[in-house]
Amino acid sequence: MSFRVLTKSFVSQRLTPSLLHRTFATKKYTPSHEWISIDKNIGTVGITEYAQNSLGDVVYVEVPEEGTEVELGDVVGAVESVKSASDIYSPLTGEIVEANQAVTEKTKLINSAPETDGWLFKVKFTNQEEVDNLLDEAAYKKLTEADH
Amino acid sequence: MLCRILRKSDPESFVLYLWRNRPTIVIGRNQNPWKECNLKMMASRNVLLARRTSGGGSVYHDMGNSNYTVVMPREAFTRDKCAEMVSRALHHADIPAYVNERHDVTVEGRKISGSAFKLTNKRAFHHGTMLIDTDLGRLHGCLHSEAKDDIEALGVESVRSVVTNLREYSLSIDHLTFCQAVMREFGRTFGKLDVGRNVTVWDESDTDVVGMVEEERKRISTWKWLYGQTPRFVHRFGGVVGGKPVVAKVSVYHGHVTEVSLEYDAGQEDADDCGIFQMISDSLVDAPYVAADIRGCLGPISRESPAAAELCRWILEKIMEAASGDSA
Repeated sequence: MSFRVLTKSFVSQRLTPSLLHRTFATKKYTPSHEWISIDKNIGTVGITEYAQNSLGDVVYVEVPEEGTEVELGDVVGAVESVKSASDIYSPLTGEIVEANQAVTEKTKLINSAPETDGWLFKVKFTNQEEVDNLLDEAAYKKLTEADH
Repeated sequence: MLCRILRKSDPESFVLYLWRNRPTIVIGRNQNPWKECNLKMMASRNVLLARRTSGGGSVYHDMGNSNYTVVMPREAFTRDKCAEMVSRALHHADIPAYVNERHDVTVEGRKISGSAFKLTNKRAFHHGTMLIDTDLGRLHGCLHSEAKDDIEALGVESVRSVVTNLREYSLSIDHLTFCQAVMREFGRTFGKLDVGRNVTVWDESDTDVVGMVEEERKRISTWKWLYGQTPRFVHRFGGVVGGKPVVAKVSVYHGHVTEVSLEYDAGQEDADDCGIFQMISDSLVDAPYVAADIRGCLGPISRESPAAAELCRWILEKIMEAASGDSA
């Protein structure tokens, strides 16, 4: 796995600068198991592999409407799995600029690809400080290991 | 239903709430009342509709059914924990209950209690029913929509189970004995329950609580929550109108019609038909998917021609099978 990742970044470095940028988009996390991929002032949000694993088979996904103004911690969506309705929170203050409609039609994407095709929404954030306060990968990993 | 009050409780606490209510169908947060319930029968028998904030399928409540809700820290939550607690409580009443793989409490393979869960940031809720002496005939009638197979919907579809009442296994069990057994077992499971100190009794002088309950009651009884929260769906139906086979497709989002398509089989429409189809479609778009509203929209079109009247009558009849619910 690490070899594959290494190869990819190596190739992208040699190919185009835009791919290089994408490869190094920062990924952050919340204690409520959302991931946020930061690219300039847009954060793409989804639930983590750890979260999908503990939820089980997802049968329903609700994403926010585009154009909605949200604040950090607002409930902006919902996921249902095995009789459990879970809230999805916005990890950042800003405006919802895009929502993943594909995932509402094909909810299994949350289980099969939670951190790629199963993304939920994109938020154009206004407060860099909130981004800085999110967990980095090492801190999130530590948190999920403590949960076991 | 008292989510907001319970959410205000100490995040580390375990709260038990026991309750029952008048005849009501309670659907899960992400369900479709048109598909899950017989709204026509509910209206005629005075059975209410409610939508939970927790997930899962539809259940029928009446005074013969007791409900329990446990609120706990999110980290303490497992799907079986509270169902196991209730199952043990029943053992003390000599009822050989056990939890099945769907997290329901059963006796001899028949379901007596359903579970549903709600997970928030810090807290988890477990809702459960317990059929003690429920009117099972009404339960089956109200939980069967005539339009079930004609509605294709996103969201959660109920899984049907064979159910029974605790009365089949015990002549003495009733709401109070069930509640006492659950309270005792709750104490054993989550720590001693000191009735003198830990039980909060609210009455009408607690204006804060009364106000909050009233606010929550208003929110959960709005049309927007009961019907408008329904995930996107399509209702398809067909029949023979004026000697020609016709197929209709109504798309509904947030409880309101977004698109109507009507066509005669094998493209038998002439220009007049297309005109009527267009008028019907235009009049229904944006209407709440409720028989009374649909009737209002179709009224003026019925007066256009005898053919239009026949078509409108047929559409209304078909829609009434699914949509006899409350007006928006």
